[in-house]
Amino acid sequence: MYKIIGADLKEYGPVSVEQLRQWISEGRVNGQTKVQAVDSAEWKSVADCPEFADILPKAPQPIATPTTPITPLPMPLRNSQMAVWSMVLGIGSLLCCCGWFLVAPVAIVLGAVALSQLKSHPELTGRGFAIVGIILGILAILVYGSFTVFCVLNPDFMQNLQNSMPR
Amino acid sequence: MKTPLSFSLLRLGAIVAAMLAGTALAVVLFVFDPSTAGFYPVCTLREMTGLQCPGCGGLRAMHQLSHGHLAAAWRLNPFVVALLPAGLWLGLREMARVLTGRQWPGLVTRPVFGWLLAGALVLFGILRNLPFCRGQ
Repeated sequence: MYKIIGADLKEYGPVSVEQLRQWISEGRVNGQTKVQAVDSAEWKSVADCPEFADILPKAPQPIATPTTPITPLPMPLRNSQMAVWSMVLGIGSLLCCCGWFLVAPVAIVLGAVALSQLKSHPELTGRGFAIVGIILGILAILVYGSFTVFCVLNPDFMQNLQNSMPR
Repeated sequence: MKTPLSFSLLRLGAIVAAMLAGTALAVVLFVFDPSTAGFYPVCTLREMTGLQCPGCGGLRAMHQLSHGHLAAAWRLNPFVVALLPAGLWLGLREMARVLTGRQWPGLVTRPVFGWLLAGALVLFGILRNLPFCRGQ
C-alpha cells in the first residue's frame, strides 16, 4: 500500500500496488510522482520503486538521477585512404618514368574518386592529398607521355640528343 | 577501435597478394642483377633518349642493397635508396591497418610533404642529367 501525492500536491491513499499500477498504465501517475510506502517515512519517486519499473514508460526520466547532457562527440577526423594512396601513386608515377601510362592514370582516378567521396563524407579529410595525386599524375602523363610520343615521332631528334650528350 | 573499420576478405586477399608479390620481387632482385640480366623492363626514357629518369638505376640499386652494398646502391640511385625505408613503412602500416585495425603513425601527414617530395624528385631528375653531375 502506498500513499501518493497527486498533481494538486495533495496526499491521497493509501492505495494498493495494483491501483497504482493501473494509474501508471493510464498515464495519471508518472515516474516523477512522489509515493510513500505505508511502512516507511520516506517519500520517493515512482521511478525509484522497483515494483513499477516494468510498466513505467521509459521516456520520463526520474528527477532523482539528473540526466547528463548528451553532447555530440566530435567525430574523429581521419584521412581518406584513397586520397593518400592517390598521392603516393602520383609521386610513384613521377619517380618511375616507365610508369606514366600505368601508375599515373590510377593516381588520377583514385584522386578523383577520393574528391567525390570527401564531399559526401564530412568525417574524412585529405582533400590536399587527392589534389597532389591528381596533379602529379597529370604532370607525369604530360611530361613523360609527350616526351615519349615526341621521341617516337622524331627519331632524328633522339639521335641528335644522344650525340650532343657528353658521355 | 578494436575491429578494423573496413575489414573484408578482398582487402586481406590484396594484402596477401602484395606480400607474395613483394617477396617474389625481392628474391628475383637478389638472385639476378638487373645490370646484366636481360629480362627486366627497360626504362623507356633511357632507351630512347639516353636521359636518366628519377627512377633509373632503382632496380640495380635494390639488387646491390640486397647484397649489403649500400655505397654501390647509393651511387646508382640515392633517391630510391633514401625512399625505400619510407616505402617499407607505408606497406607495413597498410598491412597492420587491415590485419589488426590499429593505425600506425603515418609519414605523410600533410599534403605539403607530397609537394616537397615531388619537387625534390623533379630536381633530382634534372640534376642527374646535367653534364657535371653524371656519375656514370
